[in-house]
Formats: sequence, structure tokens, C-alpha cells
Amino acid sequence: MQRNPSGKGTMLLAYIIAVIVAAVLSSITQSLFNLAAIAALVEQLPLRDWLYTIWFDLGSFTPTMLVIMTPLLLLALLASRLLQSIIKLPRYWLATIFSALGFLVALLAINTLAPMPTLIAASRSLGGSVALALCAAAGAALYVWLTSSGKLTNNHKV
Amino acid sequence: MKKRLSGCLLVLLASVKLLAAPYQVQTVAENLNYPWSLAFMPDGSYLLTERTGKLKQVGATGEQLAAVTAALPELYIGAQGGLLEVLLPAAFEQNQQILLSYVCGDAKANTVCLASARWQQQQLSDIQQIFKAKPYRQGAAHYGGRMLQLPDASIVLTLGDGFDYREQAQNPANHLGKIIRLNIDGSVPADNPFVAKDGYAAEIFSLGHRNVQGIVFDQRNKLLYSHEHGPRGGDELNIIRAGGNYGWPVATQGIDYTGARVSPFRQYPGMITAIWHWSPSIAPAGMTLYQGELFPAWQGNLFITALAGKALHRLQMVNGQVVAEQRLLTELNSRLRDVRTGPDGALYLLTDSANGQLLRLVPQ
Repeated sequence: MQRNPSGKGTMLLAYIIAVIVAAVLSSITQSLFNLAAIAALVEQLPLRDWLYTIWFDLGSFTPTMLVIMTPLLLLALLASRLLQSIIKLPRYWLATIFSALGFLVALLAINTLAPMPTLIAASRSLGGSVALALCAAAGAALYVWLTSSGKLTNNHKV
Repeated sequence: MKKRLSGCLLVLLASVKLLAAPYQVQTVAENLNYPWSLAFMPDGSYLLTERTGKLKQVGATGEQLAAVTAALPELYIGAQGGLLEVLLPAAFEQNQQILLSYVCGDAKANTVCLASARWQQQQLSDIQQIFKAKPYRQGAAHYGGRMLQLPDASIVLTLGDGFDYREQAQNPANHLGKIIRLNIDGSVPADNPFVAKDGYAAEIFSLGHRNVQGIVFDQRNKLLYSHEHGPRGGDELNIIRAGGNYGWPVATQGIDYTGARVSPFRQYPGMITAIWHWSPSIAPAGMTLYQGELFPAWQGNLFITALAGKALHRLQMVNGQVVAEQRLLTELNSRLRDVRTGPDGALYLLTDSANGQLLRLVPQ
């Protein structure tokens, strides 16, 4: 990793952006899964109710996902960095695979430890779990893109 | 000056007396392992269930008369599951028949079952499974399991949504998230609301419930009350009508534990709105309609025990509406599982812990 202070700041900024994006994407995903389930039970679900719920969840559910995504992405990104020299795969692939798999493992751990069978409703189905894991992967991919392309600074390659 | 001070002191003392609890709490029995349900025997003793699988008879003065490990078919004990309600039907004195609701199956596939048995000479015999809720589900949460006998001798039994299967509470083809009505032998009464309707389970009495943990019938006003756990907020008190849809998960005042909305709707056309709700949640468990003589001021009040709320909620009712609420027993700081009105007019409560107690409330 880059050792100069501005490089560390860039990485921190990229990490914060990645965590927020992953949490927001997973909040929207969770809302869509929940709403699809409700839509199947009622005659019609107006667009304003979809938008209201997504907006509500962005404020109320995103903090839960921030709590999950913050350590998850940190571990996944560190692991992808450390293992890059051993596993001969591009950093994009490693970061996204580690974060997606890490998210699925985290779900398993959370559901084992939490008093209720499944904490996050969207993860009751395999499709929902995978969709949420892809949100974590998207966050990781964003971090790699931001740090490797120098998008946040004029520097290149972090 | 002295006179004025004395006057103030008198007023203060009178106020303290008025504010003082009009009851005292007596401990009847201790060392109960997660007691869940209580029934009163004709001889003045108590029959109670422990969720961990035992049926116990406790004498009027608190001594343990019997502790039987209930050999119920497929009994499964885990998390919220285990031995649930014990009900003494009206004909108990004649035939010693009792009903037991419990969780049956295993960790991967379980559901609520209802068994008929005889309680004679402090032994459980003639155990027969008379109902099994469909379908099996995974996980050990949201079973419901409360029941009572209606004046026509039929039994209503509450069935939870299984937590992960909440949408099934709106599916009329199964028993998840329903209150069902059965004859005492487990057969379906011919006048059940959906008995002849295609695509509906014939046992269903009402639907759209989450986890009903208290049910009581008001004979005087012909009202069937139930309460149920909401998620984060949205615990409900409902008046149950045959064929009614109580909305879960489409209409709820609560949100998920994670903060996400379960549904955009707090009410929905065609779904019955709760007459009272608790947000934040109190986790209601157990309910009685007080019609005893020891507390004249409490006549006709509903009493609801709360697990998370750690209190006894007194609801003053007028024409099926809550007009006032009071929290009692907060000083115990205990999760309260069940409350019943005893034949002596006292209120009896079960605390929820590995060292649970049977408590009695009597006037000061």
C-alpha cells in the first residue's frame, strides 16, 4: 500500500465511499425484495409507496448495513491486498469475490448469533442473499477502481 | 404555622396512600424452568407447563405435587419452542381430559401440535396428537400456541408466522400466522368461516397474525380478544372476528428489527386495524379478563403480561375500546410470561426465566 500521507488519505476516503455505496445499495436491494413480497399480497402497490419505503429504509436501515459493511469490506480489501501475490488474480476479482463471500459468511454468523432465525428479511431467500452479497462486492470493486485509477487524486496506483 | 405544616403532612400521607399499589405480591412457587402457562385445578392446586418440557402440579400452598416429563409425540424443545399451553376444558372434572399445545418436529422441520391427554392421579395418560399445523418450518420462533375454550366448547388455538415465513400469514391455504378453531377432538367445526371455501384451510378462524401470545373471551360482551407481537413496535391488541384478516405483514405499525420497513402500509382496506398497539414493543405474553371479586376497581379490565416490557399492563375497557392503560409490577423488573384470574379472584402470574416463579396478586 502507498506510504505517503496523501495516499493513506485517498485510501481512507475511497474506503468510506465504498462502505457507504455498499450500504446504500444493499438498503435499496433489501427494500425492493420486501416490497416485491408485499406487492404479491395486495392488489396494487403504487409507485409512491415504493419510493416512500426505499427512502424510509435509506434513513432507517442503512445504518444496520453500515455496521455490517464497515468491518466486512475492511477485511475483504485487506485480504485481497495481502493474497494478491499468492493468488494470481486481478485485484478487482479478489476484492469482489472476498467481499461477496465474506458477506455470505457474515450473514450466516449473524443469523446464528441473533435471537431471530434471519435478521435481514431480504436474505431469507438465496436470491436475496446473493443480491446483498453483490452489493458488498460492488463496494469493494468501487474501492479498487477509485484507488487504482487515481480518481480521487492526481496520483495513480494505490 | 404548626397547624399548616400538620395539614400539609396529612395531605402528603393521604396522597402516598392513594398512590400506593392496591395489591401485594405473594410468591406461590419458585424454581420453575421457563414456566409458560397456568391452569387451575378443581381442588385448588395449579397445573402449569414449563417450556422445557415438564408439566407440573403445584399445591395451593406452593408445594410441588407432581413433575411429569410430557411424553408428547415428536416434542421439540428449542429457542421459543417446547411445551406451551395447558388447557383444562369445561368437562375436566368429568373426564380429566386436558389439552396441551407444543412444538413438534425437529430443528429443521417443526410446527405446532395439539395433544389431548388425561391428567389422573398426577400422571399423564392417553396422549393423542389431535392436530398438527401445516406446513413444517425451519427455525424455532413465532409459534403462538395459546388457546382457550369458547362457550360452544370449541377450541381456538393461535399459530405464529414462523418469523421467516411472514408472507404466509396471508396465505389462506396453510396455518402459518392464523388463529384456528377446532372441536375438542381435533375435528373441524362445521360453522368455521372458511370451512367450504376452496383454497382455504378449513381450521382457519382468522388470518394475518404474526405471533399471538394471548387470547381471552369476554363472555359478557361476546368479544374475543387477542394480542400479538409486532416486530420493532406494532404489538397489537385485536378483537377477533370469524373470518377476519388482521393484516400482517401488509398492515403494521412496526418496522423490522433492522430498521427496515416491513410494509409501506399501517392500515389496508379489508384488513382489520388493531384496537390498541404498543410502540415501542412490550412483547405481550398472556392475558386475562378480570372478573374476580378481590379487586372491584379492576372489574372488566384486561391484564396483559409483558416480556420485554417487564410489566403487567392493565387496560380499562369500555365497549371493546381501551380507555386507559396502567403499568403495574414494574418494581419486579421481571419478564412476565402469563397472567390468569384465579377462582379466588386473585391474579396469578408466571415470570419467564430459568428460575421462574408463580406469583399471586392479592389486595393490600
